Amino acid sequence: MEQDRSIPLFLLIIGFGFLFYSGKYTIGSLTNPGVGFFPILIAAGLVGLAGVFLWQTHRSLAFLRRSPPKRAAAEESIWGGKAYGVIATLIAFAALHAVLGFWVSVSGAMAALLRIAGVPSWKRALLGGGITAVISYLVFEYYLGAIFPEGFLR
Amino acid sequence: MGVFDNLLAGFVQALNPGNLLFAFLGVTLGSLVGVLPGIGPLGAMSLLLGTTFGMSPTHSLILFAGIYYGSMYGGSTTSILLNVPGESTSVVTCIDGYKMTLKGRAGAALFIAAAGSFVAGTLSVLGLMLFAPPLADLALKFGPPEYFSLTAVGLIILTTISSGSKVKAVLMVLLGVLISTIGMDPVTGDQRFTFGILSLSQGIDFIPMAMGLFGITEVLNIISQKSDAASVHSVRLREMLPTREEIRRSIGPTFRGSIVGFFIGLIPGPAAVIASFTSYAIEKRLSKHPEEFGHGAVEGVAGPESANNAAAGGAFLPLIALGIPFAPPMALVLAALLIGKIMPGPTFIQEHPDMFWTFIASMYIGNVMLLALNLPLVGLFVSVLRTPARILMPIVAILCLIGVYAVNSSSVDVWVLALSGIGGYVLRAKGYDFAPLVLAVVLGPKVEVYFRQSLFMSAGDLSIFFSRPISLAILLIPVALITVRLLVSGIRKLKPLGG
Repeated sequence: MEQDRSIPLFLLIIGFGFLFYSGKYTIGSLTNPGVGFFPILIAAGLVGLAGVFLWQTHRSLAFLRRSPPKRAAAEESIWGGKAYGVIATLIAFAALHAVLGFWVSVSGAMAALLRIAGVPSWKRALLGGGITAVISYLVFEYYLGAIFPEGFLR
Repeated sequence: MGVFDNLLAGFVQALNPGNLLFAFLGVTLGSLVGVLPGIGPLGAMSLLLGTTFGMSPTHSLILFAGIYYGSMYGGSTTSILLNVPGESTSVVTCIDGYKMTLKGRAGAALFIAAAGSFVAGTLSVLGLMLFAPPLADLALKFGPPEYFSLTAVGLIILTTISSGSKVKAVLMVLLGVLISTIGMDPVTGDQRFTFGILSLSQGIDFIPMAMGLFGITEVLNIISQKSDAASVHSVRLREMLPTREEIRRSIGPTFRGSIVGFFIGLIPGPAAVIASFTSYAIEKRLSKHPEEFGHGAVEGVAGPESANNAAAGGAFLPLIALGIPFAPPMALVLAALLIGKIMPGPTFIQEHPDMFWTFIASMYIGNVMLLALNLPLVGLFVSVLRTPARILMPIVAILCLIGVYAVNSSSVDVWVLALSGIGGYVLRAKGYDFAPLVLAVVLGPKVEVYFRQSLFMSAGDLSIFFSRPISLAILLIPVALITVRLLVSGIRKLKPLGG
């Protein structure tokens, strides 16, 4: 089993958040359950289970700390420059697509992703981004009739 | 009309050029996404969901079904030729399929996988055709307590069979159910956990979440790795004929795999994966030469490949007869039908017999198309694998972004996609399985509605779930499964003692 505290801790916080906000809605009773009844049950379950899991993980990590070589071998970072690059591109796209316009954002995001994935020059990446945006516009907006934000081009 | 008259009428409809075209598109796309590691049927169906607005519900059902069972065919190709499973359902095929390739029997392995898939696909459609109407009739007797028991038991079984830690699976289910409570209360219509954000009033859609978890996560994984295009073994058509001995040895596993796969396909979660592993274990146990398994045994290809295709057919049964999707791709089929204002469930076959029988007939036709496509054109599908990841993965990510916006024209969905992808990347690295999370988001509102309706009916008496025979029988399923598992492990422990 992976020895990790971050996910159970995150779930514990989420659970507490739902538990707290569920209390603000009508709970009702078993005879007449209200809006908050079901979420409070589930949130309590999540808090309980995540709490127990976190405690168990904490104990196993304390044990592993006494044998550091094993711990070092078990941990492998998933975070590298490429992963950060893709994540930054996705967040930038989500934040900016309504402002810049969908197809401009698609073109920029594609160029960035191509560069991150290993396309050797910005020139080729920008060309790839432009071609992707034009083809996608023709397929999705012109042919299929879907509506996308125009952004500053409006 | 009898079953065969209905089926004949279905064939007449399915052979109409429009339906044939969508079946062809579905199975071709399915084979393609099956071949490509990283883009599963779920991703392809999510991307195409936006296009179903302009389609008839029959066309979208035929298209999505074709993608789903077509991907099972395609998945075996990369397992056999590259030792890289195109789909998780073909992981077990790598073991003996790739060993056959190393022995120079790649063509025969591909032929046996395709033929087994065809037989299993056809038999599973037969099962669907025979079992869906009686199950739908039975489901007419279901009330909220029975549906609550069914959906809740579905989630329980899902946590017990999902890969990795069971505690992590339960945590994912609870998180998924909580996410499903965001938005409008399904009973009263009041807003919950929306914090005044209008876009959240309809809740968090599972489609951007599934696309993020399965599509973007895969993009992140593959881009972070260093490998690019794969080197592929070439296969010539004349090398594809298996020997008489290979055919003889694959007949039994194909039929056993079909039966096992169809019934395992009915259970919630990654049924096709479980079916393929179960079939492999059965074949190894039944084989007169178990020592050949792992070294290129033809049974190790025929059994699992038949089982995963049969499971794909079986997965349609709960959706068509009960209206409950027990696998993420089935949730997308449900979404496509809902877009066409069709609600699957107990009355679906009575209300839309033409659609049901056209769908059944199109699956028979689709299986024939897959056989015709996959054997002679295997080289063409494999050539797709030569596309470098540095080109392919950005295309997948961009298609996810465009597709997710196209479905609801919602910027919130783009955020959900991005955050789910990032979250999925972290969760996968920490050993969490996504399938329970996605299915809990889909089934969560149903569990809540049926639970609250049952409590209204019984004036708060929880014994309603145990006092009604069908509900009790459903609730006893996990108890029976656990008992069987304990008995089997007990017998295994006793065997060495007894010598």
